[in-house]
Amino acid sequence: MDHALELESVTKRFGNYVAVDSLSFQVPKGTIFGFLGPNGSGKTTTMRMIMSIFYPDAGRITVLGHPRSEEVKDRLGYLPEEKGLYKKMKTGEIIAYFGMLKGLDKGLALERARQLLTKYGLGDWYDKKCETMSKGMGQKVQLLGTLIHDPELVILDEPFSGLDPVNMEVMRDTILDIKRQGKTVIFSTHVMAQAEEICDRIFLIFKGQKKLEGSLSEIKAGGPRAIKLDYVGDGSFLKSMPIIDRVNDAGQSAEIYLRDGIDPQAFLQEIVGRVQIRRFDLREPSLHEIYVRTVGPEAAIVEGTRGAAV
Amino acid sequence: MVNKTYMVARREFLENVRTKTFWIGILMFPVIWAVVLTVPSLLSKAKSVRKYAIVDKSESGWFTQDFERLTRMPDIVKLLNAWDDESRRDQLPSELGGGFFQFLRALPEEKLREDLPQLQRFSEIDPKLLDRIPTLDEEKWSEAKAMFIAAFSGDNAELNKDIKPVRNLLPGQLVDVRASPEATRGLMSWMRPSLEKAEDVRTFVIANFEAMKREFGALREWWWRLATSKDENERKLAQEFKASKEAGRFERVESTSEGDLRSRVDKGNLFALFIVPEDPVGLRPKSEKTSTESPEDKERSSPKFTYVTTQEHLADQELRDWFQDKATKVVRDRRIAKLRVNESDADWLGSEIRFDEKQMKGGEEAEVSKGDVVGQFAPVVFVYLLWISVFTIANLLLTNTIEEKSNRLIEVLLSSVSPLQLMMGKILGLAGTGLTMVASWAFFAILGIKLAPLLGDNFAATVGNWGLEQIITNPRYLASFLIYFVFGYLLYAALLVGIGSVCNSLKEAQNLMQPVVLMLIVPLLAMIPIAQEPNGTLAKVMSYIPPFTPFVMMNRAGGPPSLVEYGLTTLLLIATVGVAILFAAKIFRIGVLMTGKPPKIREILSWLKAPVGSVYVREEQNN
Repeated sequence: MDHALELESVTKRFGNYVAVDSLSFQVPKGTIFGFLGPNGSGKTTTMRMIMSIFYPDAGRITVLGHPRSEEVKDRLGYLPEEKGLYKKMKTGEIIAYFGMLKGLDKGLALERARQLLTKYGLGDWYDKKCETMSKGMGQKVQLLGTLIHDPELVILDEPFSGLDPVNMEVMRDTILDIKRQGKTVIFSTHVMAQAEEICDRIFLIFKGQKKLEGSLSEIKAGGPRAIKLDYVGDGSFLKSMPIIDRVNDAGQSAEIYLRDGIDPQAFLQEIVGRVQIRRFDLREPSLHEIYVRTVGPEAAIVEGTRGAAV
Repeated sequence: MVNKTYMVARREFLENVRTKTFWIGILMFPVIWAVVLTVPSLLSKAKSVRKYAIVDKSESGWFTQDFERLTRMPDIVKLLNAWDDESRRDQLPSELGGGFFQFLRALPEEKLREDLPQLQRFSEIDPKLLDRIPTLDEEKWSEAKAMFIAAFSGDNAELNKDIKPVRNLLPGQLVDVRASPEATRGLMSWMRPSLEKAEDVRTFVIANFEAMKREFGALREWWWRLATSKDENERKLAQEFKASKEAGRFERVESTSEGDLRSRVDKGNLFALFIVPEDPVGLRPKSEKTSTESPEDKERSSPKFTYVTTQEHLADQELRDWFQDKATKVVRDRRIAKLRVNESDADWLGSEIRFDEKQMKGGEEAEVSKGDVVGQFAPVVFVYLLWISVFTIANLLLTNTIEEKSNRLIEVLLSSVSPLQLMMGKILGLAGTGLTMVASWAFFAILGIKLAPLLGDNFAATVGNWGLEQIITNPRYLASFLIYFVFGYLLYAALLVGIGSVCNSLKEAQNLMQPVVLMLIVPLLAMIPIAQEPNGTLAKVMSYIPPFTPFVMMNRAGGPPSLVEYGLTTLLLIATVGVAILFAAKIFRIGVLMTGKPPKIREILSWLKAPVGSVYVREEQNN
């Protein structure tokens, strides 16, 4: 048994709406699992089912080897997308309270809450009320509440959203740290760069269905080759070049995908002289490109019609 | 698993109990009651002395003279002090040396000032009350006598307790007179010789009462004689012993001309002006010719007095009522004299029929005390408290649920505990909060009763008469209050937690709350009718409507309802609570994660069909 989590054709409907459609995947132990997909594609619903907040209409979920995640609730950590705290409770108390709900005894929970706050640079806030904290600090406190009981499987819903760069780094280090301890992390995001940096495995869900699954290298290997071009000058002509299939142009840097059978050398020759080339690089496609190609234009429509995550 | 429910409950409890507002709220309650109970009397004491004048048109002003005689009293304390001065003794009436005043003189002055009004009141008690003292047979009397004598020679603390059986023989108004222990002791030793002689409790009480009345009366007469004397020295002497204010609150100013007095009223210098008609009595010969002395030949009328005041004083009728009462006595006495009716006949004619109030208790007849009557109304207070506590706590639960839901904390909680645990934890935690509230009230009530003597003997006596302590510690009231608090709270908690779970804001909740609030008002409206008729049809029918059961059954505790009724209604209530919690759990587990518009009633009803707990819920509406 080396899967922290296994889903077998899990389906969840809300009325007539199918939020999750016969989803199956496995998360090996000790990995960081990126759960990707546009808004409203069923990420949060799936996570809630894993946490047994919702129950699937069909299919099976095995968490840490148990068919019912309720039995292992105390070994899971869950950080929901929208974060809230009891305003009137003290920081240390609320972290300890979350720990106690997971079965820690009071003394240990308070002790660990203090340690964690100190470790994350909030030692002085142990005795302060939550309402006095900034939003970023509040999010940290909630993360600590998720981790206080040393969960074996940590599920983070959009953990990076709303964080400043420094705290983003703290979050990333935290996730890597959990992995280093041999535990498993599942997190959802739609910022591909983050997923690319730290994920061992990726799962792409769209409209409740599996689109892609595999290790980062497996997924990238299946995609087209990309040209990374750094340039100075007006690059607007790139978009209209017939040999180019798709361009992700950022103004000074562009990711270029050529049509099938076109030699990158030919492309290089065509642009020499039109812009000043600072870097020309052949590489694997970015996760962003794979995401856009998979989800495609449909995503925009979906996002328009269904607002908040389910 | 139970452990997690406990932890949720504990957090909810601590969060509420720790806030200052919670304790302020609890403290406010007795404070508000204390204010409601004491402020009116304090305010009336704080009222300035109301000055009035009398324009007396009666023949040679006899009305004012009689009126003064009735309302004015000499300052007995001053008189008693003067009696102690041997050089002045011959100026004073010899009654001051009598047995009754003898014991009064032994009291320290401050005690005397405190006790005198009470004793005076005692001497003014309607003599008819004395008729109500039962006659005892010899055996019982000697028993009571022994008890009295034992009590008289015992130490003060034991006094009241020891003579309680004897006190119970006396009409309430006689017993209600409270004197300080020192005065009581003095009174006892004064009465002792007559006690030993007396053949019956009746003769004993009457003898002493008459003596008291006689001595007070003699004093009044002496003073009045001096006050109206032609001798200037005598008038001066009377002036020296004049009590400073009549009844403490009203002061008569000397009359000038009627016009002047009217303008003084107008300017606000005078509270009111009374104009006495020429013939206040209203008994005149029918015609000039038949001017016999026979009362049958006289025409009766009720001449009107005039009361002049300003608009601003129209609401304050205290002076008017006081004057009316005294003036009526004055006129009545005159009429009695003119009709040559025997005074005791007149009293007898005017007397109302009286009741000996009895109550049947378990086949035996017993006396009705004030405490019994208060006790009968006590459930109303309990219902009110029950209502407030249930409503407050259930409301706390509602706001609390909505808060958790709106800041999405609920999701974190649900990742650790099941919805049922969460809901039960919240309900139980708030039940603890409610019990704390109720217990604090009980504590304050008991504290209040214990502290009442500090607010003055008078107050303590009144409160003591109500038998509050017995009511508060009455197991029937206590047990039913606790039981009905718990079940009533659980019922409404289930309703409100269900409502809270489907709403995203308090505003939304208020709409759904309306039916619940309407339902809660019904027992309040029915409170008084049910207290008056605790076993009537209304009471009986409402007892079986579960949302009303706790209030109505508490309301009926004075009845009390039969055990069968207690049993049936409570079972029905418990069953309803069970169903309500089951339904609430179903609504809660679905509603609590829902965002967007609150669901329609029809949707909610469809949730109720789904099984609860860890069993899969097949269909959930969203958005």
